[in-house]
Amino acid sequence: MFRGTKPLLVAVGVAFALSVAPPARADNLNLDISGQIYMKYMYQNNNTQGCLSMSNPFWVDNIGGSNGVCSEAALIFNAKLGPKVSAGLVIQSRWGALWQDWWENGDLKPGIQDTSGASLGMDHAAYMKLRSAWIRFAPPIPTVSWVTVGSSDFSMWNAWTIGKSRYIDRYNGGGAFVEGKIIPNDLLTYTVGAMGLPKLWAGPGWQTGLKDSDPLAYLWGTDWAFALKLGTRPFKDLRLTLVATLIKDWEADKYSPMLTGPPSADRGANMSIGLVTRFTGINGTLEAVYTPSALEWLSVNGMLAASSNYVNPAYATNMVRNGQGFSPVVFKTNDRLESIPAEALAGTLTLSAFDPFEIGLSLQLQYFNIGTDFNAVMGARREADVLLTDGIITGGFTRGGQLPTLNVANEFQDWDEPWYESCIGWTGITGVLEYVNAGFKGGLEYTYIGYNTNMQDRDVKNQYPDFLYTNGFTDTTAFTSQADYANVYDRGKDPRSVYEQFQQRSTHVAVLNVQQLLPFLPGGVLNGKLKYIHDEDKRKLSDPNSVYLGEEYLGFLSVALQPLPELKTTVGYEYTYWNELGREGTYQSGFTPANTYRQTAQAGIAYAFGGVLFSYTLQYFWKNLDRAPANYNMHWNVWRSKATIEVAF
Amino acid sequence: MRKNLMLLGFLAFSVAGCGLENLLGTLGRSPDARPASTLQGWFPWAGVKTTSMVVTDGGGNTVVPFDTVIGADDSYTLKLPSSKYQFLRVQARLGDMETRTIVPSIGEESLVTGVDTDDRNVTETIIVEARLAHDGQTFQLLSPEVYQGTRTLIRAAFDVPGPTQDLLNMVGRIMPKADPLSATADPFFFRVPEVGSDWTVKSSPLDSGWIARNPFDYVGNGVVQTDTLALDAALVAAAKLYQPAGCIDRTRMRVVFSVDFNQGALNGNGGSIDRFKWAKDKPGKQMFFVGWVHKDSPVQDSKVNSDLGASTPNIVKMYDDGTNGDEVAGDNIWTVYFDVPLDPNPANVLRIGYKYTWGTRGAAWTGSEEWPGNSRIIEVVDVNGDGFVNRRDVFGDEATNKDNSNLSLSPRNTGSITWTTDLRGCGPEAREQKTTLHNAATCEQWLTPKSIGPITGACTGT
Repeated sequence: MFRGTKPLLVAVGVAFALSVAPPARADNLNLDISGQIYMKYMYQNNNTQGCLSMSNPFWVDNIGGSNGVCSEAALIFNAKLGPKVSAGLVIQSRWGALWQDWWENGDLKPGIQDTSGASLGMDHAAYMKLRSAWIRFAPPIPTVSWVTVGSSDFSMWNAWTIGKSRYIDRYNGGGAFVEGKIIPNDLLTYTVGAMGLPKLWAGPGWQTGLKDSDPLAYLWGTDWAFALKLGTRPFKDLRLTLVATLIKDWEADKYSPMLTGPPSADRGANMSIGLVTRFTGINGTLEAVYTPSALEWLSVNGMLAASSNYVNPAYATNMVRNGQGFSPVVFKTNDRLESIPAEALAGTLTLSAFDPFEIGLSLQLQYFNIGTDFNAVMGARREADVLLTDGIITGGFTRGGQLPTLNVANEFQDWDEPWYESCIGWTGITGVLEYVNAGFKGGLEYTYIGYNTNMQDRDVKNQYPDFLYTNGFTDTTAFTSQADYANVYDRGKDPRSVYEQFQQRSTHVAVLNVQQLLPFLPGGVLNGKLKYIHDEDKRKLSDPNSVYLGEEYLGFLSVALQPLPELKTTVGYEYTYWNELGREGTYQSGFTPANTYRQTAQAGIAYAFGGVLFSYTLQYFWKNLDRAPANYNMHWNVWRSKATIEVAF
Repeated sequence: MRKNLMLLGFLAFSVAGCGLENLLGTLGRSPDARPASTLQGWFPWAGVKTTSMVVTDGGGNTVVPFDTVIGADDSYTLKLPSSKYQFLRVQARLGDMETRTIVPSIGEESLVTGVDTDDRNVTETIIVEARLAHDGQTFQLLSPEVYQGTRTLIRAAFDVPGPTQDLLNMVGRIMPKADPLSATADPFFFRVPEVGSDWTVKSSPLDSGWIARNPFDYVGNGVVQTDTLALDAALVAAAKLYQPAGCIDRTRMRVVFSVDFNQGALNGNGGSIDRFKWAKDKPGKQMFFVGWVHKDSPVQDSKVNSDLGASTPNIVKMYDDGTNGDEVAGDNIWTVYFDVPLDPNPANVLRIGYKYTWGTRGAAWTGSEEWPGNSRIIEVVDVNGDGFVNRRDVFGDEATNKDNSNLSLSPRNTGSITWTTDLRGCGPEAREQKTTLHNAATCEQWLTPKSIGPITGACTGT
């Protein structure tokens, strides 16, 4: 090689490399890869198979069932390209493949006799799916703090507007979000976002244009939600937050000249097709939190909410009329039967005094008033709770809450998960006294619930969905998806049912919770709960025989132990008695009573070792539903268990 | 300054993404007007408006307007769902009077004016109704073009002395007697007349009880009439003068195509058909016909070619609503018909290529045609002499009338069909044939359309 050639080649090579290199790259790429493995075993003494207690029976869905064991794996990539740029993605297997699903490849062959055992569809093939992808950066643009594009759980808004996606959907949503500060020192912050509407549930008929669900609609790729949040802290003790959201489900204008005839300019055709509204949902909240510095034990939280939901009946099939009263939206009309928005206000005012006398006694008072037509169609569907009260649906083992939407989701869940009820129309007051002293903690609640939805001869045929089953305490323990969407086993009221043709209802709820540490047992904790509900609905005022009167008596006791640092055990028992007059029947044939006796026993262990977490819960419940002589009695004798093991690495 | 520009640029970028185009693009936008077949006319009576207008088609089916506007200036507008209609009768009710006005035809997205509820239209209507009753005919079997000749004759006769003018004058005297506040269920006049084949009036347009209670001189001869006899006689005299059904036209032929789109309909082999093997289904689709004058045709007629769709798919729509030759609404058998010229020389037969598409208006071939690269063929020859060339096919059938790549299992199948190929012993595939409902493998009986008649021409006199 000629003298001096090598440095020249090196220089040329470097120059070439620089010339073909990307114009910019990460300064210090920091890629973090983590993973999760989750396995679940389920048992129940019935004839179902699957790894999900309650699936959904309304479409081709074969993952629900109570006997089986399934695995799930996820790979999580987090990349930090620099102090102001990061990105990430999640690749996760699809849930539904049982360990018994050997050779399953998802080769669905509908309508063909298939003996391959490999044809249950992709849900049984455990395929890896891109579940999440996001980019987050902080450009040097005035007021902008962060820009996020991609997957989101929508948790930046609230349950009254656009709620945080439920756990199983936490990766599914996508949007673009900008957050920043207009005035420093928290005097004015903002977040704006545009989000793709979930095509399955965020609209009339629980979809935004699935043609097989609604023959009047077929376009869902044009549908978006828009949101704005403004926050301010005008002074230290006061924080104000405004959230406004707009949901737009658009369809192609079916009368567009491009769709109704030849593309002739004489007809006004211009190779474009306009959009018309199928559904518009507007929600807003103004929340104020006042925590006076002079009274550190005091907190006042006030929230005013508004909602307006408009359905265009030319593009959305009226599910009140055509879906047996099952609809997540009201199809409101005026006197001329023209579709109009269903509009309402809602508000809560919560006063919290945290141990003001420094004797361990705290007090919370909440006033709530939710209008008849209030509905947060994209509000939180579960895993949130907007009211202080224990509510009606919760039990001892069963947790849950109240949400201001008809879109409450009590599906795609297991028997040990919380239950949620719609609180649309609720108005009343809750008082909670809590006392803490050494190893004792006790809470006493009283709630009165009146109903803005009280009305005689409400139009539940065309406008207001009643979800068909309007009365009776909801038995969350005995709920099964296979039969109970049709209520074959008489599990009581649908948790979404807030409208009745005839209603004059009021409810009293009293709850006592106690927790006592048991120092003589390793990690011992005793939990107890007593609950009483008096639920009266005079129904048709002109018919005194139509009264519903339900009383619930619930007692719950459990003991938790931790004999080893890595081992926890729990054993508990719950007894429930429902005495219900006028639970079943019709206005024509009259109403008859029912008595329900339910006992539930449950034991569980949890074992954590070196990053592995194992848990096992065994439950037995026994129930008698005495409906005679109007109908036959029913009896439950159910054993079921659920075990999980998971590891993160 | 730079930061402000960046902010502006960023905001502009934001506006351009994430559905904001939809939001901004729909602000202030009004939905497109629904396409309509619109009828407009006037009420002859001022001040009092009818509260009831009903439209029926030639088959007696009620056509419900999706928009009705009755103006303060005594005008009215009825918007019917856009379609081709024949022999609409617009019925307006004012108290105890019902008027009827005939609209011989109206097309898609079109407007017909002058549908007035006046004495001239009422008189024309009851003349035609009386004549059809006498002839045992219905509006469904009439031809709009032929009817125009009859209408011209009737309207000309209104203006010259004679039976027609006499009847007009009687109607004109009766109409002001209407009581707009009457709540009678059935109108006292003008009812649909029933006239027997011997010209006896079985049911008069005028209620005999009403005229008995309200006698007056409706003839205009100074004699108070207490019955309907004079009106009935005038009606019969006028009805004898016209033939709304027209006379058979030997110079044209009505060619009817219908296609069975029912799942489970059998192909020429007696086997099942996957309707969506090539066509894709989605909401808003319907059946279209596409045809052309075949290159082998001795007759090359550009107008016929255009009427058939000129090889452009998804333009000529077919009907499954009981109109336009369709016999049963909603049975998934779609129908369309064309009137084509007949050459006196039988050797000059018109040959047509065609196929069916399941599509949306203006859509392309792909995803809508029953199969690609082939066509159906037919000669316009009235094999059974019923005045029609009537062809029934099964959508997607590749074993009967499919010119190339024919999948018939018949030993006569050579892979394609010619103008004389007889695959199933039913006669040439390229001719009208006997048919079997939902089964293209057999041919059991001739189909003669019942909801439309053969082509007739205007008769110029009695």
